[in-house]
Amino acid sequence: MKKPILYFLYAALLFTACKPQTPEHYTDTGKKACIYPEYTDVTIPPNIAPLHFHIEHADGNTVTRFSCGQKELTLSGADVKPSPSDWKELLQTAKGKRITVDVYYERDGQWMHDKPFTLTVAQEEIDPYLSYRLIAPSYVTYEDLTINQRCLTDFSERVIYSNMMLSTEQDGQCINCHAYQNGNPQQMQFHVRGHLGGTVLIQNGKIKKINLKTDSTLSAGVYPAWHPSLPLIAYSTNLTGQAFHTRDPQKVEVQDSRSDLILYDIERNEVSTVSDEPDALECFPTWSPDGRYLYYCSARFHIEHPEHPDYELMKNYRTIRYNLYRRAFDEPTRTFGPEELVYDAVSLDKSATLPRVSPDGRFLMFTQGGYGIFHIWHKDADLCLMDLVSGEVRPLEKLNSPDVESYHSWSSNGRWVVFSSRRNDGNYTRPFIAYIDKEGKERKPFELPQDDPDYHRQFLRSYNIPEFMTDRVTVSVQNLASAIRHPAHNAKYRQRE
Amino acid sequence: MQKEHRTFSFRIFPWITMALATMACGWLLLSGYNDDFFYRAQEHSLFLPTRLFYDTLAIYPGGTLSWAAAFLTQFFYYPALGVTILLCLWIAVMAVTRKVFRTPDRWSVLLLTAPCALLAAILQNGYFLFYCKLPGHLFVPTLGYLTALLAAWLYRTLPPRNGIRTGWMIVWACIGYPLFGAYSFIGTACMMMLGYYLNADRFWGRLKPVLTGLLLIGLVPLIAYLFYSQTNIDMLYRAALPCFSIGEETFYQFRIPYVLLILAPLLCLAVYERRVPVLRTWQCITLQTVALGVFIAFVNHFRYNDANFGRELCMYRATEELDWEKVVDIARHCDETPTRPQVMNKNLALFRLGRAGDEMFRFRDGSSIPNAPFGVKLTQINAKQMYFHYGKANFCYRWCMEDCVETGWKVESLKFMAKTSLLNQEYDVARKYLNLLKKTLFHKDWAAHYETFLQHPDRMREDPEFGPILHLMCFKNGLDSDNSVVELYLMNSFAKSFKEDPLFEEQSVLSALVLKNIDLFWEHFFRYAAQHTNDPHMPTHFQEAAYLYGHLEDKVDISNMPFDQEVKQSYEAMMERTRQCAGMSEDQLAQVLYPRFGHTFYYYYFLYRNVKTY
Repeated sequence: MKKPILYFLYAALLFTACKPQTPEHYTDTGKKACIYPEYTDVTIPPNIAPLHFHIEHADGNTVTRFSCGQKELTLSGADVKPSPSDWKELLQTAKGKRITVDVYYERDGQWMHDKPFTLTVAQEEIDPYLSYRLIAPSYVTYEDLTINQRCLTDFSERVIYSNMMLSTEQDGQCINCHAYQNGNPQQMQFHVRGHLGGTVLIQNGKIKKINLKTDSTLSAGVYPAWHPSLPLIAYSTNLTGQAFHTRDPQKVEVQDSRSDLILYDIERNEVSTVSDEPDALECFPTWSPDGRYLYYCSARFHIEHPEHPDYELMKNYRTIRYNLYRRAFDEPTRTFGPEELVYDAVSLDKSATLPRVSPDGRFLMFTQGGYGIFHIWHKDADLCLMDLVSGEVRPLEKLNSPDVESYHSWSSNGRWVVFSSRRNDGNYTRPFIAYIDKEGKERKPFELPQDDPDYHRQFLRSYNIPEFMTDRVTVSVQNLASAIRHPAHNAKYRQRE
Repeated sequence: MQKEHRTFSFRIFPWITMALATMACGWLLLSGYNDDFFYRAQEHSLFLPTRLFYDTLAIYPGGTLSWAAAFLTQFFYYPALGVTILLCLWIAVMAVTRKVFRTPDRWSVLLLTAPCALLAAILQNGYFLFYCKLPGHLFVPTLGYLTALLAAWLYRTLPPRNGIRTGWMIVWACIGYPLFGAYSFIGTACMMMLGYYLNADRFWGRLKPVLTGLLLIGLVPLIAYLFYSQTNIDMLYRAALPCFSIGEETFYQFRIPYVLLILAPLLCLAVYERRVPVLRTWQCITLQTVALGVFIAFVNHFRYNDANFGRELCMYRATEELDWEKVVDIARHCDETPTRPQVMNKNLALFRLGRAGDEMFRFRDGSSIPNAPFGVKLTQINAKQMYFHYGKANFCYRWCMEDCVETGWKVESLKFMAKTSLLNQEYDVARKYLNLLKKTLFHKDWAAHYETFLQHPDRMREDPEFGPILHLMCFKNGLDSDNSVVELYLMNSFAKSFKEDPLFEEQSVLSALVLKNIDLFWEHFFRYAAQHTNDPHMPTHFQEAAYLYGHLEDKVDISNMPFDQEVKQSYEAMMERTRQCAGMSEDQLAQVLYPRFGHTFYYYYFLYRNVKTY
């Protein structure tokens, strides 16, 4: 009986002895800590998964200390990976305060200490789930695509749907444009293109597949926007093509030769036109949180020879620019008012796309680049914020980088935004999360945390359309595949009076 | 005495058979162009010792098998080493088969069934190498089959009581399917059949393993389907098997070696523990000789043997190594109509050697269709290499990405993506690819070499590989598309561009020659001449084109041009010979004129027609 007790004591002693200690003697470098992902001085939610990071320039031992008041957490190793329980405890203590992080590392046998950095823990929580499509940043081909959901409070990730469930060598399938009503995973939609194509609607566990293409519309629904309270989804319809840059590292130009806006009434299974103005390329609809306005972007471009639009588009691609507009929506009659200009980007030689109104209705975030619509390939694309009360527009400098910033989504409480950025390497899109306060002031964003800090440097896929969700999607992949196997219900077209 | 002697013969027979088979397989695998084939196979594969890499494969049933096979595929970097590993595994297959089925020595030849099937599965590949989507596909069947046999061997060695064997069968089916995909069925089927034979005296004892096995094979994939989120239900029973469909068509003939592989245990069971009638020695030897002959014929039938394919592989590798003389040498020894990749590689090599203007049309030209049952696209084979060396960095990058998306990430693409990113000054993404390559077993040094350009981009101008490419990158950006027609796009883009860079301009003249575009030729010819006023030698093919076009059209006065005597003489001689051959068909004329004029631009202009580029 004595032996096990002794072993236990030895083990306990060993464990205590191994607990990392910060060095007594070290040299202050006075430099900013060099870590990946770049988490220095960021603001984080109190319910976020541990921020695992790698200390870049250590060549020996390393010790990292997180401290907030009396609470301390000390870890060793170049990969700094606090345990979930320690992290949770730390965040609970630090809610509304700052965590100071001290990084000590050995270089050439000498202990060094970089300038401490902070992690500001906000009071407001982030929505617990994030969904995105994972796709290799290819141009024409596609193979395995998945729409995934990631729990933001830990590292678990699950596939919502994968095109490989039904793709065959002969019949490939593309999936895209997942969207939710107010981030509610019980009200979800995404598109299946090609084999067994249609728009998949998931409503409280029930799955329907709809064919939104009618004789009176350009295409099936493309970029979606759920009405915040009604069973309505606005879509753009697009005729899209692409051409390749011969020299520019932006590599590809995705352009619409025509695009309109439609409204789909889920209950009536009816499609009607919202906007199909000639020479106007309307796209990326989004609702105001009260459902009274439909915002979108639109460019004026006249194509001389509609039967061969590609040449004209390729020749003039730098001159096609989008403004932001809105139309008032009358709920009882389900009709839209005339087009109102919200932001005149064209007058500034800019092109504004992807409008998204904050849940409190005060701010409009959008992506602005020099030209065009598909800003994910435009290195000058940045996020901007418009105060809808004052009309003031400003770039979100703390969120932007010299590379691409594009898609963005507000959390349900309006304090967090997730946006896609190619700042790491210019080619692979990664989700970044940032805090925006009530006055619209942004804080430095942080990259989606991963269990392996090096994950995003090794990962060869892009994250498309990062969207917050208030819970997880519960419908199984197999059930979705089974539903998609069935023929789509054809939507009817309703002419507006 | 006679009987003892016979027994002795049969004992040594299996070892002689195995040794001979090993040597034959080794010879077959390494003969011909297979050295380059295996090298290219490992370039077309990727193994990273990371959790992410394993997870990426393990999301599919049989992913672990693919992972292990991708690991072994790396060793084809030294083709002889990879082949040796393969041969060792086949010897293991034979040894385990013998143990599992207690194959009598006199039937040892049947042990060759599986290695023959596995050999045929490799040798049949040809251009399929560029279309196969299964990671590690050259090692997958060998590893999968060997593992299945080992599982059956364990079944056999387990005690036949308390349902231990049945328990192992269930465990194997449940863990074997996620790890080894459809190969787990072979293991289960072997156990099923062994169970049948090992319980010879009891009806229920015989029936139980058979029913259990069938149930497991049928049910386990269906249950597993609930846990896989990226697997088509139609593919459940084909997991870890290569898919021989390209586009709309499925090429069933590629499946035959796999069918033989499945039949191999059945053949061994046919002679299980001497259950076959005792044959006379001569009958036995005859039967085994016939079997051996059938195996040889089978492998030979499936052996893909195409000289053009071999030359393409060899040229590709030589181009990678910047061994331009070797590329030219391979083209020189081509005595049949080449495929376009060969012509393109040869033209590129001559251009790099500065001899294209004098020698480009001295070689056989044409557009032999790649020998494959499916349409082979240049974008899949060497578009990346051509675009890279001709300075179309974006197009190279694009086709690397498209290829990786369709057929998986590979060393070859990562290398080109790293290099084109360096050319595009996209250093962050270049670092990403180089860091990945640094994790590989055999491409670390390569990555380390190119990493130096991250610190010293200025050295690229002086680099023998990047230097000439940077000259060709002096064009402005524009939107364009190659419509998947690589050669035509390249030639058009050069022929229609006018730049001050002499190297670019030289390529523009060459492209105008290839396109047989007279107007563009003249424009570039005069620019080239103006840029080379200090060079007394005007390349022969440029002179030939000028002399020919001057005679064909009156647009340019060539009377004062200082043509070489040989240029004028060969033109006159060819015209004269053509007049003499009046009435001949174009094909006949081409044959008659080739020996004397096949090395001239005149011949290329008049007699290489309908060259199909793709």
